[in-house]
Amino acid sequence: MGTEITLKDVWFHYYPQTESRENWAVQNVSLDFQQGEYVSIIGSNGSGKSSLACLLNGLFIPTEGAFCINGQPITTDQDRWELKRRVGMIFQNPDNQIVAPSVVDDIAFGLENLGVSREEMKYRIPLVLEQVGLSGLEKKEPHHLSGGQKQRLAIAGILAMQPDVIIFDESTSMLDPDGRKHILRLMDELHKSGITIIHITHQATEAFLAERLIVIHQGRIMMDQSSKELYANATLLDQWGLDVPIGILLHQALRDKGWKLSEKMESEEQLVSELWTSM
Amino acid sequence: MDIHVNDISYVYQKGTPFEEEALSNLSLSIQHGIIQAIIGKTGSGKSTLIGLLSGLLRPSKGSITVGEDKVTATTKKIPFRSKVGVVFQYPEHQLFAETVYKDISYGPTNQGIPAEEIKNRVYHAIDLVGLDESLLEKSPFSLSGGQMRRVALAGVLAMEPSILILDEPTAGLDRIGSEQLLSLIHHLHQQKQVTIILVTHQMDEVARLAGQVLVLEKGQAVFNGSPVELFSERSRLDKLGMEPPSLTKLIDRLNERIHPPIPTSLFELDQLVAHLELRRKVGNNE
Repeated sequence: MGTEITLKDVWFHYYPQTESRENWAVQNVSLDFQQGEYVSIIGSNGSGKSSLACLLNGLFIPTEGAFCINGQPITTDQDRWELKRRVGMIFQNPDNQIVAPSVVDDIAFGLENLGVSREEMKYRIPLVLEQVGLSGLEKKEPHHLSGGQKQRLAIAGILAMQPDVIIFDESTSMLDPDGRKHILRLMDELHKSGITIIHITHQATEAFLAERLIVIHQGRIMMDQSSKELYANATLLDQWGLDVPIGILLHQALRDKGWKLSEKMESEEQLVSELWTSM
Repeated sequence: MDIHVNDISYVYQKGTPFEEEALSNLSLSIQHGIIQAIIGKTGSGKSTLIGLLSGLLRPSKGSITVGEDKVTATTKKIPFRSKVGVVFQYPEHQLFAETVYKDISYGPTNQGIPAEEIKNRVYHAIDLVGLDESLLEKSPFSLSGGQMRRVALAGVLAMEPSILILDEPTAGLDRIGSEQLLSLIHHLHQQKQVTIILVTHQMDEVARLAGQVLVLEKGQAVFNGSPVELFSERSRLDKLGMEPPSLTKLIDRLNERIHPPIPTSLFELDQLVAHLELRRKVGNNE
């Protein structure tokens, strides 16, 4: 049946008693994530995107408002325990989420906490290692892995718990270009296998790989659109301190010079073909 | 103060079963006052090269000359260490003092500089990095990530290095933070005429800032030349497994349709717009 996550009129702050409401980290957010979606949440440093991520997997409890899974509010510890299995999270720094002395043990750690049997582990672990491309490194010590490999190990650990949703919180920002590409490809593959992907980032180029984009600024949702719609409106990103894709900047500059191009561009592809015809 | 790297190799844990050659037979000349970019994948030897250029490591073979000072495997004291400032990756993790002032003054104090001079240097350094004086008595840990990074940079600048090494200075910063830091680097370079060695994964930064770019692969120099030269030859980039800057990528896409192709030596959007304008005018006249 999958997992549908709903936030309804959610407000959140770390010190709600001392801060006035306009400074709260998350303000009046209502969002819905269906099973199988690929969503990016973008915002600049301090926009509240990481707080939002922690609300989505139950690590933080809304100060006000409701957090529901499949329409049921999450209230008891039992609910939260179940939620942790369904909604996995990958953090920014790969070193912060690895605990065990070997690759296999690291994946087994999470499973053991969930009470998964040894037999079942022997079945699941090779499968997830294959999925993230770490087969053959079972006995390796995690601190000998590259940053990208560590991040894939963290993903394998989450996948072994068979989650419905994975949240990536700036998970590519500390990696080199190869590591970054690998993780982005993996996100796409996991999405195709039916897992909901929520990717939190400040990089517009990575965000546009998703089907749906949500812009957060000073704790509030500014936009929630398909990536095509948002691409057409991408000049707006600038005011929230986000990158405008270079194709959009070119489009705007040429229109200012009087080129007859469509007012809205839905993709770089459209820009290339229109440019070609007008030259 | 020119830098000459003459045929150096560096071997970690020499003579043990864990022996590993991180750099082999590398030669490089860095003229005083340029911005030299160093790029390469994880494990290509970038960090080792930084260690050598900053005087923290000695080469296993060959020599490094910085100005008048020469360092070989047997050199005891490395004299140029105080002339090279290094800002490591995520430098905000290295802040430690109770106040911003104490943190910035720590380096020059260790260099034995008199108190009055230190005060001048701290004020000058925060001015250079664009931090407000009101922050000096605050705890560095109460600042934003971008501000903390500038405090760390100010701490290095207060030692007045002639060579500044920056290891991925914009990693983890958002667009505004990155742009501020890059224009700061540009400004420093113009104003202070320091040599800047910039280690980065961001090709847009290389295209915008660097005068010369070194590509390392498995401990060897596989390219050293201008960014134009590096990014204009797509086949070489592919062979090195590198992504071109975002504008070059867009030009590549346009060139799938447009003939004759747009030159890939354009790194600024304005240049591309001017080029397309020219082409359109010529096209209309035909």
